[in-house]
Amino acid sequence: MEAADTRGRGAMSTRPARSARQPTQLMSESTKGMLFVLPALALLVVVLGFPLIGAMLQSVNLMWVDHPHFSLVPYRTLARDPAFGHALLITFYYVVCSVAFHLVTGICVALPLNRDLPFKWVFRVAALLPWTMPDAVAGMVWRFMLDPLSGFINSLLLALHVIVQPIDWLGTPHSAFASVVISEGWRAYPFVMLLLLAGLQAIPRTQYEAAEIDGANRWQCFIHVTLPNLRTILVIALVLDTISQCRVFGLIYTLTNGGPGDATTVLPILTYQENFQFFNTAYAAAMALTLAAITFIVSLPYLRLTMRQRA
Amino acid sequence: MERKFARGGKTPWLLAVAVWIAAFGLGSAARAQVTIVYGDWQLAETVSSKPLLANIKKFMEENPGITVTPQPVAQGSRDVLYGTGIRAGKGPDVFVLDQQPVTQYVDQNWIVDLSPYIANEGGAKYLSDFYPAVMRTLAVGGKVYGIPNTVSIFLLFSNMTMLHAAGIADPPKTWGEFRADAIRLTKASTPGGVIDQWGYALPLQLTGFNSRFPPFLFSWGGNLVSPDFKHSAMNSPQTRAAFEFQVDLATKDKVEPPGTVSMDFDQTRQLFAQNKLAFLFEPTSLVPNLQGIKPDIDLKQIRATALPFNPGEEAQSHTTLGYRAWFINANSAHKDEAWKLIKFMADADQVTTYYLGTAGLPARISVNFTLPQILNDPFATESVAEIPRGEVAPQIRQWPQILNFVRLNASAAISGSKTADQAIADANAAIESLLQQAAP
Repeated sequence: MEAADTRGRGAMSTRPARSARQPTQLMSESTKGMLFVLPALALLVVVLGFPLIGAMLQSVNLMWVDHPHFSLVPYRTLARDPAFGHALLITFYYVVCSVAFHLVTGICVALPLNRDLPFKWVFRVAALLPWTMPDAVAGMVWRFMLDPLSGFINSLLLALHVIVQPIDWLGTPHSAFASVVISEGWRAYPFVMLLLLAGLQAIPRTQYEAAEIDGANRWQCFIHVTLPNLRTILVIALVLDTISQCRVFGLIYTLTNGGPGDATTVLPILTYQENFQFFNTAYAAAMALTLAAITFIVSLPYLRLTMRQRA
Repeated sequence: MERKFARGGKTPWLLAVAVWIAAFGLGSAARAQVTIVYGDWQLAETVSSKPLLANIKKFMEENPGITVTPQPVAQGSRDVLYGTGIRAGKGPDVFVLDQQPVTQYVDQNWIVDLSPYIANEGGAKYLSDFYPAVMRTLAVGGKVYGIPNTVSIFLLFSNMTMLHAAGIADPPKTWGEFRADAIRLTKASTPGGVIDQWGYALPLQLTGFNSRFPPFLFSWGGNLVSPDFKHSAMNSPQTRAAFEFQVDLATKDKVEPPGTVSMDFDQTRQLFAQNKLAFLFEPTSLVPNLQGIKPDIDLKQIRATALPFNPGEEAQSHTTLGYRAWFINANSAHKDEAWKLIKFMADADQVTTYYLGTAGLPARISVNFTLPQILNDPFATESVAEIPRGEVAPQIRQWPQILNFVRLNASAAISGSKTADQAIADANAAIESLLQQAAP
């Protein structure tokens, strides 16, 4: 004990700069950073890495299939399958239409909500409400409303003598597609609206005042002050919403189930059918990975933008 | 004080012994108790679940060492739930399937070969009371994978209140009569009003189309695959004629209500019960469902007859024979107890209870020809008479996908995005391609 004490005291006396914090100082900043990141990284590996690697192995017939053997047949089939090509096209049309709908509606709602209105909070809550609804529930609600025999929309139009026979909104390809875009547009526009509202609130009032002094009218203020200031946030909203819309499933599943025919069959619906209805697990995994790759490519501008801002 | 203390000293010991005995007893009972999970989509249906639960309760009373936990599942989610569960090494011990996915479950090794259990019960003799057409599809590679519960034959159900109101005395016997009657029955109930009565509806959602289109197609002598299952039969004259007939009913004759593209069988049943739809293709289980929808429904105003035929083809006409059967999960840790449950549920007494509660026709031949309630029921007797003309849909793993191709194309043709010819050509190409991919 004494020897130990002596050793300790001796060490203290010869190297006074070292203290109780000494061991942590030995660690480099990057190691410390890594230690802090490690739990999150482990979580990512578990919730993202494992399923991703599993899906990759499944898509080449090596895992979670009947007779595991390496095969690229699922990917070759993708290239030849007209159903996949069609679903890809429908997904593209759907994403373009719904994202455009969200952006236009989002900005149209965000602009008045940014003004000093009485009871502004009531309008803000009301504008946010659709976003609180789960997508599958929104699909069912719209399906009830669009039902040709008992739906609210046909009943109203018949009562107002706008139509003489019920319209089968989900029964023709174009009207079904439009119904899907409108219902998802209604449900998900608040996300874009919130982003744009945040962007609008960050625009300095002085810029509008300067424009007004220069004689700009409201439209010119919008074009030359609001839009340029919103450019970054618009790109972020565009990219995030595109990613979100590429993955749409619940609403379409409950509203049209991909029909009529395959008029609203987007890639996630087709992937679900292949996996759970036809038991083509490897093919479904190949489809899902293709969609993931497309989504990743779409997200690149967002990643670039956020990284550039951080730099 | 001392005596009190002494008494107080004994009491905890006695209590401890009592607790130990109770715990020991309970512990051994808990060790002997086996719990098995029974999965069935009919547990999720009000009418059908009652006799099932009654049978399960009776089983537990007779087998106190076995607890059965019922697991309801929506029919549309059944394969998702079971497939995901079984892949993960779990899933219910005993579950019910209809004829469609049996081949897939066998292919994936998800269900147990029941042959050893059946051999213990008498082998061929035990199976001889079940319909051979059904047993043929449950036996794959010399192994028997399921025990059938009920059989279902699709018949034409006619709402005679509507037929009589339109001056039609009897249900149609030929497809020509059917078409003419359906046109006559489609009208507005008030002169000049909105059309609110229709002749017929083929629901185009998966849970309506997949079981209703095949009987219609078979009654035309058509099929979707060749007899050797290697090629598409979509282009055969009978199949083409049947498909075009369906599309014409919807698009030219307009005898179907709007919305059939997104309807399932339940919605068409609702319309039928409300006197808004005159004809349906259904099995006898329609009857208790109608009573569930409309408790005061007059069953005398509903008639079940064989599906119509085309003149000159009556002898070839047939319908589909469907079934529900019990299977044991390959992951089950209690396969013997699971078999015990299946054997009990398949017994004539339980099958009778099930029939009385659901009108689901027993898969046991002896019950169908002896049970007074069946012999006195016009719907059941019509079904029993039709069983020999029924054919189980092709048992190939591509069948659900093939039906989906036809469903999507029928939906496209009815919604106007394709002509009937295009739809037939597209369905034919898709089926052929699928079958060629599967060819060795």
